[in-house]
Amino acid sequence: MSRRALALLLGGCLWSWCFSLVSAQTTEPSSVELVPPRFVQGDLSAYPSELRDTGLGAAVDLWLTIDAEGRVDEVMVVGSGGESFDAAAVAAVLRYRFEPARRGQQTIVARIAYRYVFHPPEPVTIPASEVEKRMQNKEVFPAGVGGAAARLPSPVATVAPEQKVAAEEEDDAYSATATVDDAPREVVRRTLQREEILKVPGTRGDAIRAVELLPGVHRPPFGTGQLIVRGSAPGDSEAFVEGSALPLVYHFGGLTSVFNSLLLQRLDFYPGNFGTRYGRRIGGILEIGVRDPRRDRFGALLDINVIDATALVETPLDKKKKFTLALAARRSYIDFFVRSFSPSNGRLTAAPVYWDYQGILTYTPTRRDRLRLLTYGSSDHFALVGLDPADSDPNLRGNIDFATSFHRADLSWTRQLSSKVDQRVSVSLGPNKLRFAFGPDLKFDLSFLQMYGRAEWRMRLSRRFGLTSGLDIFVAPYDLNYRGPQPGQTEGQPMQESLSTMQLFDRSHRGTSLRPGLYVEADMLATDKLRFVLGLRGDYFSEVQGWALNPRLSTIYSLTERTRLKAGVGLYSQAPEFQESDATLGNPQLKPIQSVHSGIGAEHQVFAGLTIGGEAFYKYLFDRVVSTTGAVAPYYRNDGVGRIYGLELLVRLPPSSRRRLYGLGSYTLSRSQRNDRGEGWRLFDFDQTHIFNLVAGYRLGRGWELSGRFGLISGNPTTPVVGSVYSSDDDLYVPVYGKVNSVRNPLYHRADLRIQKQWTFRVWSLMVYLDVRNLYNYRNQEGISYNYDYSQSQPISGLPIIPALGLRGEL
Amino acid sequence: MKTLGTLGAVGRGGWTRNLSFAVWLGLTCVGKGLLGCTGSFESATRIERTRVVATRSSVIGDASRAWPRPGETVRFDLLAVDPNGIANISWALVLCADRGSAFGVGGCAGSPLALATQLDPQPSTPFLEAALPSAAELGAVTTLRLSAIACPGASLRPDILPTTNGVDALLDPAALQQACPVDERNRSTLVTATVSLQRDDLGNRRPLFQADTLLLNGAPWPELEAFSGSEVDPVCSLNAQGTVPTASARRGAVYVRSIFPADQRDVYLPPNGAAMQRESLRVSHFADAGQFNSQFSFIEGEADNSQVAWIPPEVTTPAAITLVRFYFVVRDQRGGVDWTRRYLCLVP
Repeated sequence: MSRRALALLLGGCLWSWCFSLVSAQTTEPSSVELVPPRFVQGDLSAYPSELRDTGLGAAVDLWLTIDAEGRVDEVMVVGSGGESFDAAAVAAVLRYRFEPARRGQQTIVARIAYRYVFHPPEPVTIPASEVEKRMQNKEVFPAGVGGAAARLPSPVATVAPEQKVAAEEEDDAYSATATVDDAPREVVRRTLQREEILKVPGTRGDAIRAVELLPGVHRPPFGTGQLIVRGSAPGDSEAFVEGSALPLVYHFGGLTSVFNSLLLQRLDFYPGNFGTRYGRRIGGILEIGVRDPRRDRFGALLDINVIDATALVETPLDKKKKFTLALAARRSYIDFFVRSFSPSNGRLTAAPVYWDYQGILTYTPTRRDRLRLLTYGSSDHFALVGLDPADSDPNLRGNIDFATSFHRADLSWTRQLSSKVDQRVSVSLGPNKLRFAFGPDLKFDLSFLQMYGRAEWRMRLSRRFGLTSGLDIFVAPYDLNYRGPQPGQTEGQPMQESLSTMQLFDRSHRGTSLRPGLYVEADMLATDKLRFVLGLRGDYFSEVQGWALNPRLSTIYSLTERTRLKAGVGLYSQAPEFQESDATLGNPQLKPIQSVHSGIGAEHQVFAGLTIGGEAFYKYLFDRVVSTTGAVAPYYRNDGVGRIYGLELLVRLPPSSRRRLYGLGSYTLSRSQRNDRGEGWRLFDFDQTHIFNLVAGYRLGRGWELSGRFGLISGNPTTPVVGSVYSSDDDLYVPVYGKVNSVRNPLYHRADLRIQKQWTFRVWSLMVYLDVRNLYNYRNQEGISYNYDYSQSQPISGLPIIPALGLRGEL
Repeated sequence: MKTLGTLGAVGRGGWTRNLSFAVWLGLTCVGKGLLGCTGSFESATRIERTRVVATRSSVIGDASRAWPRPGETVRFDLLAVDPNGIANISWALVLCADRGSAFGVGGCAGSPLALATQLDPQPSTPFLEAALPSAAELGAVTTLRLSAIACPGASLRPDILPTTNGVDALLDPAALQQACPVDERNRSTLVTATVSLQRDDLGNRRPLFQADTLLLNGAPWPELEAFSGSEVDPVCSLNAQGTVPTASARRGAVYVRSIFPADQRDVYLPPNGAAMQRESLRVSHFADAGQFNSQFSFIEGEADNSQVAWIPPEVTTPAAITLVRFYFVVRDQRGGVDWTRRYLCLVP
């Protein structure tokens, strides 16, 4: 590690110590104006009658929405204890009565986190006074506003620590803690809860792919699964797992994500105007929240479908349940089918196969502390040998070898330093490998060790003022071996040319990418209705030896209890792509890429559960990296700008125990343009004018559930080929292009369907599901292919209908 | 067949940050190479209209050398093929200093060094002989650019020729159609080729087809004089004398082997390379009927030969005997080129 990195880490430790001092001096409680709901009555000892003889215990984590009259209006299961226990818990809490939450004298709708614990054989009954005592809050998050930001359990200073400790020392049989999430700080944060994302048709229950339904998310290019947000390039957005960057989101083909959805708690998606906690990106952020393992008892799950199989076990490790563990693994079996297949001109030596694993070990020594070790990894590999030269590109011949893998260990420690200060420190470390070779002239072999650290402190200094500050650092020593053509600019450069007609280079390079960042964010409540979040972030990019200072501001105005207006503006920076700033392939003299995000929007809760929202946004990009004319040295310059503007609408009716129907509808109208080297405005490669998605599900009863999805999306722009020139050097034709991105692929549309049936037995449940992608087998055009001299063309079609039958057993 | 954006993916996305781009690249290449993109286009190996399939440079006085020295005279030939044997084309060739580009169509830097034209279509072989300027006059120029237009069945307009900018002026389809007003049956071809200059003792010898270079189903396949379309029947009627080999359409694929001994392949130091290596030869295969299983074959490493399969056309008139013309081009991938013709009588 470089001296600079060491200095920054030491600085972080010093900062941590300073904050500890501050927190020690700020423990006196602040005045409370928001009053949480108070428990009045309800059945606290419900137990499923059919399981009474089983001797089982369980815990069900719930979110309760309590209306202004004190009734439980909405129940969401966020941590299942099994079908029967879930149903019993939901049925019980729906009959609860509370004194409603209040802001001053006004009663308001509130949401609380609630754990219902079943203890066999005689359920433990807790006096109502005890429940009330354990639900003391300092702040109540008005439910249904701000995208239902739910976090369970939240360590944010919400419950007086003395009370929490007391609760823990007593019987753990029943707890009802009203934890309150941070009030929304971002202009747009869209959160998808576990129950919502596991049921999206066409994804085989892959939760991360559910993000594609949200407004602002573009349909990814065929087979890639890339995250394209609000007209930004794929490399401009990033996915994080509990704050640590995920190097690869999907296995090959883009159909399955590398992180098992069964271990997800939530997805937080920030399409723009995100806070200073996130940096080094000018697009959007996807934060993947991982749930804790079960604390009540041993659990297991096995999911088998036509593509892969998943196994999951989770259990508390000690009697006090301070240690919990979950282990999961998944493997595809495409190779079992593909082994019998041999291309006409090649031999398959390693059939396509992927696997991934996850492990979670949590330790909760006190109510104030939580340690978690999260390990995960992924691998994809296949190989072919003996391929004849392709007519279109004779250099593509011989052997193909493709392998990618990463492993990660992420250790985090969350500590409530005082009633006003929380601290979270995390460090992740892991190797990454990417190897790709095709024939003698295309080779890419990259290995790097990703180290990522973050330390963050959140302080609630008064009811009207909060402060968040932290530092994060990304360090990646890498080793690259490359043979191939000079890489072009990341988009806007049609490249149908064959490898054989391009000048090839051999490059080997070792280096270290170092990106430290510091951030601070002040959260100010100007009035009871008006909130400002003002932040500043500084980043350093060692690749280009450049600094970036990013101020950001967002403001939220609560027009009514159900309606909120919001606006934000901020500056965002990002390092050039690796190949652009690498000394051997690009130009290390580049500057960081910059973008200004601005947005304004509104959200309204029509009734409990149903929310609608809309945002208008405008982004301006400058110092974009583009190729030099003719792609000659220094190969890249900061000579590009861009502009992106649009409108997003979202209607959500999340799954609830109150309704059989749930759904989500989203629409995005946008335009994304680029201007390279002052040559005039053109469309961005993945500009999609209209993006419409509709998902609806219905619980039919008796364990049957039916859901469907329909998407209607503008085709991506393409650059037409208007002619060709015969290159005698290679016996190939070189295409002559028309205006960049001047035509579009046809409108894309697709319907997916999912039907599932669940049987619940005494100690386990069984689910059978059929997930059909591209229900009516429409062959959407994903691109254009040409004949040898570009005089003829034909569309490249996307994936046909893919039915996936699966079986899931859960203990 | 060419697939959208294959190599663009090399440059798209951050390698260290978004491995999925590379996944996409891998899959696209796989699809391009063998799986997903099996289009219904005509095979590139089948000559169905007038086409240019090679250019060749040879130093006058030492035809085995592909790279001319400054001040030497060099000849450039253009191989235009046609289903009827000899192409009836008008043409223009122009030689200039190369302006350099990492990809795309190369162009000229400065005025043409030489120009040759055939403005009216004729059954001829396009060529250009040029006396190169001296080393002092060429200065730092290391490569030349040969540009050409081949215009089948139509006259070239003399005022619109590839000149100072190579073929740049003709890249616009409308301008090309103006320069070469072909009818719907024909297609004009713009041609570009790089010519390296020999600046030291390390030159480049062209690989050469010899009489025994090609084997047809394991038997020698000798070269004959060119035949024009009207001579098809006499050619195959001579078959009784064993002049032209015969193949049966019903027996399926015919195998063609190209043999180039190691001494045909120069040893050279590649640009940015650390060690000397032997040239890799690339052989292109064409026929005016049927198709080859691959347009290209390679002779590289320790190998001294390559083999491809030619799949005969379906015979629709059982009694007919068809003369099939084959064209083979070998490239050392450093500018050394040679070609040859072969004939086959296809019987039902």
